[in-house]
Amino acid sequence: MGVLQARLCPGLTQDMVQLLRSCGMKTVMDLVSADLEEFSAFPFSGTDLYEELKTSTAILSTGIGSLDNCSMLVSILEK
Amino acid sequence: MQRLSRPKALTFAHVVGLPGVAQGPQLLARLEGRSSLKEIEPHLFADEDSPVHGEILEFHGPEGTGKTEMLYHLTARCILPKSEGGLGGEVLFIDTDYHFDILRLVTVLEHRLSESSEEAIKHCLGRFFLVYCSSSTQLLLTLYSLETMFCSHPSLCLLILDSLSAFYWIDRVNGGESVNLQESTLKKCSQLLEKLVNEYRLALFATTQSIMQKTSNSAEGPSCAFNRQSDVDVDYRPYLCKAWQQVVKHRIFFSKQGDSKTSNQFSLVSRHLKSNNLKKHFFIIGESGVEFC
Repeated sequence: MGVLQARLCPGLTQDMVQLLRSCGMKTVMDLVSADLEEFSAFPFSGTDLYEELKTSTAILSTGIGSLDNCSMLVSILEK
Repeated sequence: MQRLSRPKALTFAHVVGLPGVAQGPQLLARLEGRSSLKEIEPHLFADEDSPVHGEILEFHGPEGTGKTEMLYHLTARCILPKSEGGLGGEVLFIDTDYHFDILRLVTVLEHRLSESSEEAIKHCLGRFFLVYCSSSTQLLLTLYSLETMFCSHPSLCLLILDSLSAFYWIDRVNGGESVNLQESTLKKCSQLLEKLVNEYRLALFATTQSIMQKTSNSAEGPSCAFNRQSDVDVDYRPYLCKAWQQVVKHRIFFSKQGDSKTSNQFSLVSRHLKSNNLKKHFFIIGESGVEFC
């Protein structure tokens, strides 16, 4: 299988070839065999996020009702 | 990565009864699950120019103008079940600013469900997926790897990216003196997003920050021409790559009304780039999320 060279495909520039070589990918086979998912982000489901929220978060009152409400309002406005 | 067949092929396979191919409800979900985005927010999208699945919309504005809250609002409307006025569809939320607040989304859902039990909340959240990206390169690779997810989730109709401009200055620095190098990763992301949106009939909502001020020179740039045509003052100066400017079909400008310290009223100007139609809307942000005035 061919050695990776610039212009082998439209996206493969000389800089890209050098970057790939620095990561140990010198041939087309090396590139195709690489597991892209290692470098991409992993999606979390909303249910898992919610479970994590419940186990890791506690809402504490300041003891002053109006201040508690004010904090929530500030949180909404910041978004 | 294996490219999977499009719905048309599935239709034929379904007719001839090939084993292992999506049958009945799954096929209908693929065809119908992405067909109802006009109903996602009638205030914004119920016109003849309203975006349907397969379009790219940009939310633009300074921080604190309600862009992310609007995304939570659209997310809630999408993932709520049809019996509760939602679409029963799935949402993929890509967070590049690392400020997604699951507690805020849960609060919005609780206020909108007729019966806000934990089971109902979890049922909605089962239709929500979140991805964090810390660089434009990771964003590009993640988009490639997410193609499998779009294939395997026929009800996934809404793709959200908050925000697309998060890596702008980092990419400028990494690209050195060459503008092409600075913009190359974002250009690839834009092209890939357009391809994914068209192939899988998604709607993409992407936010961008106002990080450039409007120029004072009235003879300069397309942004000033737009401002002259409208009777609304929109502070907009395009700074992202041309590839992104070309794929956006609909741009919505957000701003805050009144005294910024006390007001919770916001406005948005919605502009369809093809027809140049402009519409202004006002909304407030309360406990239950966005409420249009």
